[in-house]
Amino acid sequence: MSETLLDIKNLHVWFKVYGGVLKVLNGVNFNVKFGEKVGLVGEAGCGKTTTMKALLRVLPNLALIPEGDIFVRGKNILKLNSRELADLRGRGLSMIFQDPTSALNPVFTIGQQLYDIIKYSAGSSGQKVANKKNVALSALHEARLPDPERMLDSYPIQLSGGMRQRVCIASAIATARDLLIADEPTTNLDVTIQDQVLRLIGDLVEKKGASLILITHSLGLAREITERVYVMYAGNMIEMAATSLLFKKPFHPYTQGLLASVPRLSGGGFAEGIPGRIPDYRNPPPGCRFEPRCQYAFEPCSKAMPPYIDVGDGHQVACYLYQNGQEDRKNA
Amino acid sequence: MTTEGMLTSSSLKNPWGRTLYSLKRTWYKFSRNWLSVLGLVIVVTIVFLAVFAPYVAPYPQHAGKFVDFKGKNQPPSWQHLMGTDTIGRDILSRIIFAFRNALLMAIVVLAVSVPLGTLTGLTAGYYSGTWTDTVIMRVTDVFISIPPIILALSIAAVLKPTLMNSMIAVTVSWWPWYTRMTYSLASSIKNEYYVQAAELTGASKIYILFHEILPNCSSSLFTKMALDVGWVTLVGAALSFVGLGEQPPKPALGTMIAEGVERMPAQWWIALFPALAIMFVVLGFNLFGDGIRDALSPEEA
Amino acid sequence: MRLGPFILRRLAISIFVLFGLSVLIFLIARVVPGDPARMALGPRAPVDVVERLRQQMYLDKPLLQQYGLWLRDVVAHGNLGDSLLTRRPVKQDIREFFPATLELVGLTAIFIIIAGISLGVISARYANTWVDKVVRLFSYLGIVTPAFAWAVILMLLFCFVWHLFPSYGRLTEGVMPPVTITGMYTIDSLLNGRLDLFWDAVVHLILPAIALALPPMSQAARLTRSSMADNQNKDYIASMIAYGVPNRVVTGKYLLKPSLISPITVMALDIAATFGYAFMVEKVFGFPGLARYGIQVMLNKDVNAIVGVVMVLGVVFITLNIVVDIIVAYLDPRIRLLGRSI
Repeated sequence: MSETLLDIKNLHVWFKVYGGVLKVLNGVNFNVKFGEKVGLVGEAGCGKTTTMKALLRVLPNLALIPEGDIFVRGKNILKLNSRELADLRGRGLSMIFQDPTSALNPVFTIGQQLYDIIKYSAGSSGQKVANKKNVALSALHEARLPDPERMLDSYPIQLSGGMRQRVCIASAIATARDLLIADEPTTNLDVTIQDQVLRLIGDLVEKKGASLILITHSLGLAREITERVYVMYAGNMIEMAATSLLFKKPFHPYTQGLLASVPRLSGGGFAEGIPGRIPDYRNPPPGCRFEPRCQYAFEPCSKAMPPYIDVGDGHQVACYLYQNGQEDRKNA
Repeated sequence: MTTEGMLTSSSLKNPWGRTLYSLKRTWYKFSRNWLSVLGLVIVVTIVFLAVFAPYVAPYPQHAGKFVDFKGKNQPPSWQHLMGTDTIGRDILSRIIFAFRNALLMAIVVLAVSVPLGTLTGLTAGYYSGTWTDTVIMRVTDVFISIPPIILALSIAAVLKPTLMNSMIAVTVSWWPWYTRMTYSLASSIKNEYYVQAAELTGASKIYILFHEILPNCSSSLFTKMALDVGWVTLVGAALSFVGLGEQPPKPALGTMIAEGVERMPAQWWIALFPALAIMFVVLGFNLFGDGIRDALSPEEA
Repeated sequence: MRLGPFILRRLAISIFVLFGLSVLIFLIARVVPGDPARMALGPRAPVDVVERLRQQMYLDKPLLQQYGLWLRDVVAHGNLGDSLLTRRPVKQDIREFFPATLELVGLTAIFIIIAGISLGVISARYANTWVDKVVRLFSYLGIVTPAFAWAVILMLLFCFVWHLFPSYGRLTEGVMPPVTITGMYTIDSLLNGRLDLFWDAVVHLILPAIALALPPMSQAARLTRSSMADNQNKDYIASMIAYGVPNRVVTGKYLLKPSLISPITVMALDIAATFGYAFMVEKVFGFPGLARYGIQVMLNKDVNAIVGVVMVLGVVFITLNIVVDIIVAYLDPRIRLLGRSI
């Protein structure tokens, strides 16, 4: 337990909207150890960002958490008040967002924002961090940004997308945290920049010995960087395994479909997609949420959400196909 | 695969089904806030009173040429719920008839300024960056640089004081605001992909303006129109307060307040009730307009 | 573009607008049914006297020439003509009445800005609690009650029910105003070192200023609150929170600054509009200001005075607009650097 940095247990998150309630997260289980690099893969709308927002406790007002716990370093953060929370965050967490334009406050300079982040990085007491400017400059330098001095006085609007993202990474560098959450860090960037940014993130994590949660819908990305991967679908983690294992032998029909749908450069033929759509969160399927689209669906699938089944080597699947161990594969 | 997709419950194939659905959904969102419903109730009340004034007012003849010096300056009582004024006329009845004029003014002003303002704004917005845009917007700027009430006062002051002229004055000061609003909406909408797609497929400019751009301005337009009924009434009252609108003995809210101010504090009801009546109108249309804005705004993901 | 060229550009546009305004109001004032000269002198004045006045006012010349003559008078000599009503140079009338209204609107503006923003921030900070609900209710009532209605209500309450404030004029009857430096009694009395006069002037200003300030203040509070609520969910706020920056810093600094942009713009418009509503409050409280003068000259078709008043107000509004544009450009570097906000 002392090895575990983050442990999300059975998290449910609902949104109150017109016509009912969106039951977005349906009992999410997710954990990260110290120094571990974990990937979170899933298509758009499956609940990845919601999980992270819940973790940061920045969910919008219309969200509620009817069930579940989130433990950070052993403390249940859903039960903390705002000062304790700020303390914890100050010492624990950094996050890189998908859209670097909206992640930086447009009316303040880079320097102003960095100084405040650095200032409060030692906890909410905001004790004097010697030489904020040097820390900021060296972080900007490490993030391979040109002319760090001038950068401090610039506004986000004056920078390109790639540069803004690197500024966000610089914030992470400057504060030496235990956990870095990168939410689709390269999605909005040019292909040429993507690689550099990824490399930066990787270096950062290695050097600081921090844990990484990489959220992405790109399988290739996850494969490159992470040690362990969670696959998420419609508000549930449906499969989890060490990266190499997952890509070699995916068990869950959804994961298999995902991997099959990646087009290959060689070998010819079209990639297959997965028929159907993600469910309506107002009226989700009562059992396994993938059941309506699954070609292997059978009797228990529509009754209740399948539990996690260990199929060996720490590889877990939430699927009734494997309820009797590895033997009970598809009936096809 | 977006959140929008998640929220569509059933496939509504026919256009009437869709319209009905969106109307129902709009009403649902509207009615969730009791304040909006209150606004609707007030608006309906005012309209009802205005339309049926002769039948609803307790002393309809007091709204015209009428004097009764014996009954003058009476405080509120059961016969005269809001008292009588300096020449014996029942204040409540006069207020009800004044609502008529107020609504009439609002309708006329908006009926002219909304189309005029919207058309100019759409044109300027669509052609933004060209000299059409510059000309239209600079002219609009001249009008906008003065707050509407002052412009309306200035114009009304140099014309003969009648209801029609005050309506003209307010209209002239009002339309530029629609131009500006539509302009900023149109110039950002025209860069959307669906507009560019329409252009590429050879749609005529008129079509694009009216079928692609305008519908996307409609929620802002409707909201503003609802709110504006209240504000036009206010400006109209300001004009008549000074003597620049409907002339006595016809009843107007501003005129009544002006008369009442002379009699303060002794006959306080003469000024107070018309003031409260204006509040009532502005409150109702504000609540209603806010409700419309909330009901028409898109869901957040 | 940087701040300098930005201001210059605004100034250039403003001069153009001022020019257009002068043409507009000149036309309107002149192209009027009724003969100003006749109206000024009364129906019984002999025809030749009226004719002479008309010539003095250039009313017999073609319109374009009238405008040119007027323009020359204003720009070269600062001469706005004479008022038909008061028989004095319009300039003198304005110099007497304008500071009073300026004082009033000034105090109103202070109320609007301080109370409006504070209430908005409080409301956003305690969103959805009883504090918020009370403030929002109060703001709503503030918005829908026009200034003159508040004037009536406040006067009834604070002058006649509770005798706390005077209900008439700028100073108590019989009190001599301070030596004129700016024309504004509050500032002049301070400059004169007369605190008693200062207090007297302020006390006469408070109720009218509150009446004028309540609607725009409430609007500003609502706008601040909704602006903050909108920006609350932005990524850059979540980012600050994630990095452990305390809530008070995030709210007070990183949330407030971008949220002030639209309230300030609206507040400026409202302050400009206050000059218009001021006349009603001035009438209710018997306050001798420019607005009251303006109405009188308008009703009497005193063309020179009308044009003078409108032009003075026009200059004020344009100045206000420029000041606001500068403030907004300071607040939002995107506008300063790009000329737009996206």
